[in-house]
Amino acid sequence: MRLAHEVVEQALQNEINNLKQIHSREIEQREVALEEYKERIKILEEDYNEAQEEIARLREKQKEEFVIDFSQDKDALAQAIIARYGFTYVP
Amino acid sequence: MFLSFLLTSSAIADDSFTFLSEGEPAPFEGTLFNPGATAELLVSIDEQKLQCDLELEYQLQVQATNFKLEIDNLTASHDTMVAQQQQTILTQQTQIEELNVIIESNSGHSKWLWATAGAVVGAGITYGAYRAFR
Repeated sequence: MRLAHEVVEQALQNEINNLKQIHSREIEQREVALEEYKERIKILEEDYNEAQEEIARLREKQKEEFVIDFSQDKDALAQAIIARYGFTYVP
Repeated sequence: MFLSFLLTSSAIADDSFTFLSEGEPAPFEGTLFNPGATAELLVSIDEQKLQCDLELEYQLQVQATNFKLEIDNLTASHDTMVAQQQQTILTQQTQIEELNVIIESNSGHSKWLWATAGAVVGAGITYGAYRAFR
């Protein structure tokens, strides 16, 4: 009887130790997933900010080109207006 | 300097525009924009489209990343549950095997002991009955 009790006790102790290891593995998996998530979000934000800056830069460049077109290429400017707004050009 | 002139009146059927030099009379009623303002009108519409596409893409990527984290966490939970279940089954199997070993090793002694005890008691009762009824 005593031997049986010892066997059961030992088995349960082993189970507790193994369950603790399983739990630690899960915590580790979750931490890795969280780190990957944070890294990915950081990259997305950086890319987003870079794209915003590029849009602003492109905007200024395009604006300068349109102002130049006024004096140098009215036809190109007219086409740009038509393409964007669908207005009719009256020469 | 050329200026752009946008139609606002109904004199010309479609929405129209033309270019005017400074001081040049306007062919129709409208609103006058200098080159800078005209350029601003043109780049604004392009910028808005780019901003919209960028925002959409960004939000979709963020959402995809959120979902991936959720999936990873659920996978971790699932793996844990499977491992726990397997561990419990293994523990119980081990317990059963070890308890069986104990039972096997003890039942040998008990079997012979009980058999011997039974034989002795049986012999004793038989002799006692013999003497009693003789």
